[in-house]
Amino acid sequence: MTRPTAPRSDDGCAALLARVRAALGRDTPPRLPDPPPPDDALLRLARPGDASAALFVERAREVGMEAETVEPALAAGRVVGVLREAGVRRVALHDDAEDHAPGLARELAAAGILAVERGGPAGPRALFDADAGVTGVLAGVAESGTLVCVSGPGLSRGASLVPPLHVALVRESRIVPDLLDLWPLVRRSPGAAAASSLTLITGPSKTADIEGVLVTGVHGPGRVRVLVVTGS
Amino acid sequence: MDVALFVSCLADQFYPRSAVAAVRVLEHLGCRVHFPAGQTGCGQPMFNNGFRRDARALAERMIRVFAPFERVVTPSGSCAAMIREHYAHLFDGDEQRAAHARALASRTREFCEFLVHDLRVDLRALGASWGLPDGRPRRVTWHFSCHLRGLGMTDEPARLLGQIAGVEPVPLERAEVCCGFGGTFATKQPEISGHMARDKAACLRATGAGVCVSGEPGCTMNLAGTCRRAGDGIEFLSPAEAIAASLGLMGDAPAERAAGAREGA
Amino acid sequence: MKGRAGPHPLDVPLPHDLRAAAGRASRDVALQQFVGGATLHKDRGRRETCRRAFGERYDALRRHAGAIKQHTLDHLDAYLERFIARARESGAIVHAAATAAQANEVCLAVARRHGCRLCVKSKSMVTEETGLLAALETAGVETVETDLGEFILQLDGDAPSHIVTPMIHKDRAAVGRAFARELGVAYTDDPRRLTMIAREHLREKYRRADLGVSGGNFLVADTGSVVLCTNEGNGRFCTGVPRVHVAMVGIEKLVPSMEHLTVFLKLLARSGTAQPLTVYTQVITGPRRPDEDDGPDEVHIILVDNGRTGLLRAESRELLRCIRCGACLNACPVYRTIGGHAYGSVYSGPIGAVITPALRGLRDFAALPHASSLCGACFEACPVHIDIPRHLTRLRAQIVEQRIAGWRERAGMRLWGLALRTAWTYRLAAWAQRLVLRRLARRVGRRSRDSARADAAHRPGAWIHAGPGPLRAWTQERDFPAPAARSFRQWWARERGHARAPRRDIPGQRGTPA
Repeated sequence: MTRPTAPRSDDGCAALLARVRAALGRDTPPRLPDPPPPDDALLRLARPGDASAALFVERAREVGMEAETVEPALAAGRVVGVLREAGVRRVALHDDAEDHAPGLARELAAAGILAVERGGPAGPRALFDADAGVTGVLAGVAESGTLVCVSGPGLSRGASLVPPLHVALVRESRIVPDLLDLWPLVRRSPGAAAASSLTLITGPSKTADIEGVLVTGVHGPGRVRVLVVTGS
Repeated sequence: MDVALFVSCLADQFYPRSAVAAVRVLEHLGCRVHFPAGQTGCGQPMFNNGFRRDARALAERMIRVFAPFERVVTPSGSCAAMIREHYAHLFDGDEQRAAHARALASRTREFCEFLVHDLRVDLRALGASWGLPDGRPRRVTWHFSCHLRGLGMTDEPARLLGQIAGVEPVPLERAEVCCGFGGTFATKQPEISGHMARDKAACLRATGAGVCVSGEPGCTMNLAGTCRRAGDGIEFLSPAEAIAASLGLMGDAPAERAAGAREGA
Repeated sequence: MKGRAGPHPLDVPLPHDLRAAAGRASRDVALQQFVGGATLHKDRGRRETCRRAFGERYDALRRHAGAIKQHTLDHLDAYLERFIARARESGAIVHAAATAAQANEVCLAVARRHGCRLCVKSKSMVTEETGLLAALETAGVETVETDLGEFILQLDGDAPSHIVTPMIHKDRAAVGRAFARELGVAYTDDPRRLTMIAREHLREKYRRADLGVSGGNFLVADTGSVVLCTNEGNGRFCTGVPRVHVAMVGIEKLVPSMEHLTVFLKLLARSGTAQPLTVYTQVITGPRRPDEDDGPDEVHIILVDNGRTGLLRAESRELLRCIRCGACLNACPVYRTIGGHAYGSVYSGPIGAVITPALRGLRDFAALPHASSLCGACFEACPVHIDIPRHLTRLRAQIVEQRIAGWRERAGMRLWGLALRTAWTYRLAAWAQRLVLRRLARRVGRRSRDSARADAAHRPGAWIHAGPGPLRAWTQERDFPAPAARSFRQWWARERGHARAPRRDIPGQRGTPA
């Protein structure tokens, strides 16, 4: 756990709160407010019945990712196949990839694909030398084709960001229908709610800043390959 | 039904024919039209430019002048919007006057809105017909003035046009974009205003229509002046004039012939 | 100092002369093409995307989102307190800056304490507002903008002209020239090639940077998180690779919880760029945990006031709902005509027209609230339902109350108002106007370029092609009609003043009677 930080007398927060209270016409501290709850009927775009691998794959493709389903036993082989097609020599591997694709480490070794050194003196800089990142994900959101990645021990931020190719393994059972359904899942997952970084990924990195012409792979990966591991 | 007509200062001075047409149409549809002589202006230019005190004085007058009437109808959408959206707020802090303002607002209608929603008019059933003299359909487009948004109106003028035989409605590209009038905006930022007006004029030109129906005198002034500067011949009529012509209520042959001549050329 | 010579485009002399800037901009054909085309496309895209997703629910959803933001602002003290506490619990260091200078100073102090030499920065309107880039560079910290558009603008000594798509006004050739000049690469104007050049250049910076600066799209009170919504991935680099991350965020960005965040995530990208979600939505909660492989050792959150507590007063509070989506810019025909630089300040378009006077002084920016036809397109586009036209007229009233409006305008309006006070003063004024304008039309109308057919078609009658005084601004752009020979009132008095009056001439029918 991180150490909580303490307020300092010169950090300006007390003065800010005083100015805010004055502007709100209050001189007593506030009660705990009761916000209007998000209106599910207005917001929801996909229902529980829509939490399917098929919808997820369709939406993921629509946003420019390559997506397919794969059976658990074949997952590792498929990952290696994707990497070989792309000419990958070095890969940044998350610790949870093996859980999603049993036998992955062995198959990578067999294919002569090296996992880059994590941590160590090079730290995140080592990721710059990787040709691809292979990660599991916390969850998928079917309606938008979104991958949900959290940081954690053995789950670097950089594996899904720095290399030009990101291979993401999603368990079918972890696909929720709508973004509204994500947060209860996050709260239920140990470590996720307190993660230092939770990232929703909906497509390859892109920009249209130059005359509105779409270009992918600006900073983040230009290719995202999603494998939905069925029945898991 | 008794109806009090409110005619905006622009219409009274520059487009009186549009107000005459409104009277004729309303009477034809069975209304008894009153024109309270004490009316002057709704105060919109004062309000829009930040002269709230002056706007308030005029609003008080309007509320008094139109108090006896069950329905107030105005062919100018921006005036109706002024009354419905802004009058009550002019009297913030004065609950009695604010209540009178709200009461007037609830009785005020824009002309097309009144015909469609209050009178539920069916022009086709009344035999409305406005084809060209040589029998061909008349290509008509219409201008969506921004104030219709604030009134909750969408396509009432178009619906009415669609009920007139012999009319071929032509949709306008980028209809939702402002024409650039904006009251004093036209003279405070003439370069921007003129640019917007010329954009709109180009879209009007592209319709190939001989007539543009525009219910807002300010927009009409702006667009007609722009089209004329560009040498375009498109004619501007208010919805009341178009409807009145289709019901044979105006009896003005020379202008009709001129319009017909241009379309045929 | 990088870039071409010349003043910074947003470094305008004050009071800001919008009319001059607008005049130049509306004659700039290239600007029209880029800004006009792009904004129209995005506005259409917003409507299409929202219609497809929400159908009839769209307007209700905008009101709902607006209500949530309003509630948060109404209780901003409570939500700020909660945010600060939770952020500290997660290990972030929280500061609050009253002014732009203070905000910059906090960031500089952090940089100094850690001996930072190279800073990578992701796009943030607040840092534009405070001028952080210049402050860091003056302090000797090399600072690189990493958002592609901002990177190009920095290279070229230019300034952003749109809240979301900052280089909407620039073409590929200009980018090619800037790259060739500043990066020493061979000239190319191919967007893909240019982007890859930028990517390689910036990767080098990411590797070496020891400070990352970002803004924040949202702050989540319940968790003490900063949320970043980007498409390129540079935000993730800036907040993930360097040892120290500083997030500078306006205090109004607060939302109560992650569930409430969802409301805004569903609206933000759809409103601004016609996409369902931005490619990356990153929720940052404190620095890296001790057992994590990467992430910053320290996260600083600088909560920026800089005039926002002033806006928090009841009459203007609604303006703080803004989530900086850019939808109002894309919808606005004025913005579409003049582009962002003409507004003379960091925030442009409709929202800029109402917050810039508050943040930088009404006297210096009195033209902005008048640079609008009050068409309401911005109000229709705003995902948090801010009634921008209402605030424009409110500011116009303040301009009058504070006597910033010129005496001529005040006199003119007063006179007009007086003329409308009674029916007989109205009639008198109308008669005088008719007299003057119809004479003018006879004098100058005939000298105008004529089209006989156009003349025959137009009613009421003659047109004024070039008018003096108050007419000059109008006739500079278009013709002005002469009033009809007889007003409606006169017609009514004659036709309806007596019962059964015969139908006679309808005023304005036959052109210009003398």
